[in-house]
Amino acid sequence: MKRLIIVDDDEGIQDIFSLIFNQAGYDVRIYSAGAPLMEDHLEKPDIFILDKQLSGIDGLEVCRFLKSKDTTKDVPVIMISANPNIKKLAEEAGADDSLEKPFRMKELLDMVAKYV
Amino acid sequence: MSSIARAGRLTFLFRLSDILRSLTDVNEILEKAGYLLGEYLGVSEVCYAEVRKEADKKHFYIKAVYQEGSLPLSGEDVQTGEHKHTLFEALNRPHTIATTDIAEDPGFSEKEKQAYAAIHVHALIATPIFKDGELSGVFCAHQNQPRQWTKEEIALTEEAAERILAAFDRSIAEQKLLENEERLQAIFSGTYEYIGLLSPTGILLDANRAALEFGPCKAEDVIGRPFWETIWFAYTPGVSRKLKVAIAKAATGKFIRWEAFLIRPSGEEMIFDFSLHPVKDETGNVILIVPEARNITGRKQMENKLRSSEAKYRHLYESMDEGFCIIEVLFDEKNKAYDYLILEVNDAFEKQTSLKDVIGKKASELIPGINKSWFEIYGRVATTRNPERFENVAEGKNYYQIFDVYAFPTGEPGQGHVAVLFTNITQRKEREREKSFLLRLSDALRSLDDPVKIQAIAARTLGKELGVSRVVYFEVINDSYYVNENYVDGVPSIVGFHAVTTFGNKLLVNYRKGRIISVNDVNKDSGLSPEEKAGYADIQVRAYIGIPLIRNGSFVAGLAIHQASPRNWTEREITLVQETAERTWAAVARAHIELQLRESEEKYRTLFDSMEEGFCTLEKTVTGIPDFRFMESNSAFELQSGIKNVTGKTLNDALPGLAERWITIFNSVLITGKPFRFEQPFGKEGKVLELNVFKVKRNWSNYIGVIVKDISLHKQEETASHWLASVVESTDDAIVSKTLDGVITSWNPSAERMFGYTTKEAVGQHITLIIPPERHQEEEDILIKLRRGEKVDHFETIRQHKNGNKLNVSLTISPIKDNTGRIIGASKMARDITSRKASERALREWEERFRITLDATRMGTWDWDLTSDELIWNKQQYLLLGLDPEKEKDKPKNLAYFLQFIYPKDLEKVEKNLRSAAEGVNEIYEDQFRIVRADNGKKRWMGRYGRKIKDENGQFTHVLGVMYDITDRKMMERQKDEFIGIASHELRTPVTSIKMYVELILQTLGDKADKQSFAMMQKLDRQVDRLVELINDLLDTTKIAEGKLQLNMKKFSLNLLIKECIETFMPSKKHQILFHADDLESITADRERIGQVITNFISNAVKYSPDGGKVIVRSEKEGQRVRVSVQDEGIGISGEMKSKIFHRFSRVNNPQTFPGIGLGLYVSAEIIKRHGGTISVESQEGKGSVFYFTLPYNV
Repeated sequence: MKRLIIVDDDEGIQDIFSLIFNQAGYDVRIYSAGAPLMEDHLEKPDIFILDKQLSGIDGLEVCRFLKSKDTTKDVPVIMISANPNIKKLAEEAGADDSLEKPFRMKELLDMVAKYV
Repeated sequence: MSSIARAGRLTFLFRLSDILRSLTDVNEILEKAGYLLGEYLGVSEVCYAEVRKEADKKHFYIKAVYQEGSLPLSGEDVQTGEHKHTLFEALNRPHTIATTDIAEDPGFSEKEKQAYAAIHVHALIATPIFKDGELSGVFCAHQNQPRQWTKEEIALTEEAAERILAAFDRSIAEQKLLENEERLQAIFSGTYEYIGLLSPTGILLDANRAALEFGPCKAEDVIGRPFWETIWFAYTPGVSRKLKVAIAKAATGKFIRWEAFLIRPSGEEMIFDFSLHPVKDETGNVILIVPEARNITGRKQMENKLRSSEAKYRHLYESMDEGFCIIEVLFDEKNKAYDYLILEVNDAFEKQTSLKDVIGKKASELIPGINKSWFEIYGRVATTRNPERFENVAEGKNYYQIFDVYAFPTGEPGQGHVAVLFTNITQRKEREREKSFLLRLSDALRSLDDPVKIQAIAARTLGKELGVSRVVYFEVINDSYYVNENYVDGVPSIVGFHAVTTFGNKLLVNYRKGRIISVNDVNKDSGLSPEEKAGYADIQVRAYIGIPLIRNGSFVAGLAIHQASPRNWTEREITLVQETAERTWAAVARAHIELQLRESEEKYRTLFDSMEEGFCTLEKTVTGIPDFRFMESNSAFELQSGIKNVTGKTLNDALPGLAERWITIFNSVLITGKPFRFEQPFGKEGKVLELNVFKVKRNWSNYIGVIVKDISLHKQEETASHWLASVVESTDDAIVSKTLDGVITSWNPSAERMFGYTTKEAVGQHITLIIPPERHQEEEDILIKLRRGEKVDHFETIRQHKNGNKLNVSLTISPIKDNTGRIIGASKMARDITSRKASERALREWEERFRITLDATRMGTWDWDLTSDELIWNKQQYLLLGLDPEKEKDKPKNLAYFLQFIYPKDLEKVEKNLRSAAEGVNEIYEDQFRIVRADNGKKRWMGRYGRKIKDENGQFTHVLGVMYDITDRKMMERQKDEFIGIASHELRTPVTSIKMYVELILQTLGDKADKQSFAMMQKLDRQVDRLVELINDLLDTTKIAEGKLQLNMKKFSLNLLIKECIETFMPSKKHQILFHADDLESITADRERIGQVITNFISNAVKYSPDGGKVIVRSEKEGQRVRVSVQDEGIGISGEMKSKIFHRFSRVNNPQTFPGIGLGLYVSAEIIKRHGGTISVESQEGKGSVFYFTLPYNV
């Protein structure tokens, strides 16, 4: 089973994402903040999905961190945000792809499937 | 024997053995051995006669192998018994014959002797060769002259023959072996099966090509290794161990075979039919094991698929609701189907047919007397092998069911097998039949207006439907059942009165309680006395159904059906009788009422025609524009109104000019139910009608009645005085009339105002009341003029107010004449001209108010002299700039002086706008900019507004204007934009969740949900999309306001983009989106943003053509630009809206204009402007709109 780590502090998004990805057959782990991803003992997933706007450390910051670490730099990262400039911001932070809210379920699933 | 001869013999035999050992070919053996023998013996010929069998006859085939002086016989067929008598003899004598001289030998016949002589053979040694007890050939040495053979020579010949024979056998065996091996090898390497050779210990000795290719491996990689360690088994866990065990078993001589499961290096899984054949030697020891493998993966998969499809089929077959069976149609000698046999049925079969244990039985056994049509149909399906769908009744003894059947051929042609899939639709059919009966009944009754006839028709219709003896509709009158009409079939009619007691008290009690009674056999009804039973018998009733009809609690009528013999009534029949009873009663009741109505109408008609006032009734039309149609009118209507032949016409037809007003009035009467009276000027001759409109109180409420009266004469008088009076009442001038003696006779409200006296105070007084004493003479002069019939015009004089104030007035005085033209008085109009002076004062007041306003609003004023460039400011203007007015006011001020306070970044714009104000044609100047205050250096936003002033020659000389602080407003605007920006940004996250929930529900529900819920979810989905669109537009709007709308320019094909945009619209029945594309070069622009504009145009076109129609998208070249337009056939836009529609929040002040237009067009306009393009709309209300934009090829 492909492992998925999602970081989003919005409960609505957390709920629907876990529904959708569980249904699609992923092993989903959801965090509300980026800090747990920066710990050493993080079990490497097959893909990260990060919201840009997080309380505490910004999602882009988390992405930069993951991409700078040897253990996670090869794991694909998808940034999501309501910010219309997310594409550019995500590219700069080294994310593999990005999605601007709102998006369709299929867009999200297709994008994740493309990387795992 | 001499030693030399002995040595020669040994040498001969040694050489013979040597030669024979190295030879394998039979002919070569013969030739070489024959030659050797011939040389050694010094004979003239050596030959071999081979015995060949042909159809039980033996003959010799002679092959000469050594020739020295004899004539060759080679290749010759010699019949035994001809001239080789000796040899023939030899058949029975397994001994060598040696003849010294054939001519002298008595063993030869004369004929044989001649034959030998002919081939120059005079002496011979012949050695027969026996094989398996039979002569297979003769080996001969011939001499062309008589010769005395030594024993040695004879023995040698025999020996040679023996060896040759051995060599023959070996050679043949070898040949066969070789052939065998070659064949084996060919099979071994040629087969597609995988074959190898193993030693009994499992070492691979050989493997065929197929096996090596399958590996894939090279022979040297695998040969010599234990079989189970080879590459073939390397990828399948556990197989090696199993193989090793199997080989050990095979080594004991057992044949082993199993289905082996192997995994290929690619991960592909394959199944093999794997076997190990032990090969034994004569002693039974296993010397070889032959492993053989056949790939059966495909077959296995097919088998699995077949199994699962069979299971599926079986499951479906057993679980479906439809009945299913397979039958075999039975044909007679004439090939006509006469029955069928049931071979197989599913579970539902019994439920659908109510037949049990059917398998192996014939249809005629299951349903005795079944109709033959079934056999015909099934026979046809079996013969033609075309499936058929049909509905058919299965009717037999005690069996009546209707089926919807699909029959299709199955099995082999000629077997007569048919598969039948069916549903029992008996109930549905019966319901349909019932419905159709009731429909027929209602139809028949509706057109009738005679109650008795209704009863007759209802009774007959029901009677025929049910096949009963009698149908009776009865009314309950006092203590009798009264029968008007009845339907009878083979029984007497019972029209007339019948005492209720005739049919039993119990029946009456039940009827009164509204109970439906059904009796299958009167004789078995224990509730009836013998007398009562006799009553039924009198009218031949054995079975009946009775339906009472209760109205307002009492039993008023009923319907009964009778059968002369016992009958088991079904539920359906009872229901049908009940329904018929209800309908009949309703029809009878209606007919009664209609009868009464006709009588009442009669009365109405008489009144209608005899009344003096005009009267008409109108009915509101049902379709089209609201209108009323004249239904009837009396003769007085024509007389009073002068309108002829109105009946059947609508108001719009009959009275086009008045229709609109009348329709409005009539409608309101219909709605409120209150009568309404109004007057209507009518025709050219000043006719006036009075109309009394009232609602006609009927059940259908679209009727109104109108009573019409001509009131023209009365009206003309009234109108004139009303008109005059209203002029007098409403004018600003004082109007006073007086007699020629000067007595005041009327006094209007303005006179009251002007002179201070009320009407009451003035009328009856002399006119000098309002004339100052010094001017009384003046009045005398006027009166004289008036008496002469002259008019006094605009005579300015002074009059006096009640309070003594003098008034400046202008008088116009006219004589008043009576009908005969005699002057009876004068009318005096007085205008107060005192007020002129008041305006001067008002101006002063306005100036004051203006100043206060300017101060209160902190508005600076400025006056810019365009010729001298001089500026004149008020005090506020200085204060706005942070200047001390006292210090600055005397300094010379020009434009440059003002510009020094402008915020540097805005300076260029301010200058440019001022210059264009000064030089341009526009009279209005307007600008917004920032200044830097002189006192504290703070930035403030200013608004400036001005207007150009002309001198007498029409030249612009000045610009006059105001300046005011708009910093607060600007701050608020920015806050509002920020607020919208944040709000729409924040909204996107929850909207994402909502959107996905909706999608997930839609996906999860799929077909499971009922249609309504599914449709509601789809609607919700679309509404969420709309919300998303709105939020996006809001975000774009704030981006535009902040100047942050960024364009991502690239080169692309505009036509392709338009096509993509059109494709995103779901095909709709109502709308047709067409695309007329011009040949365009690629343009450079922001593809996504331009797509947004096109999509917005198309979506508006669709949204605002609610009645559908074409939406035409065009792309055209227009010089150096490209033009894209979207045309619709929708509601269109009014001229006023056209200019506003591209503005932000254009809806705010026009709430009723375009529901749901949103911000899309504003965003579109901004996008196009940012590209240096133009955007516009052409539209006609009600006809449709064309929205278009143009773009330069390269921005």
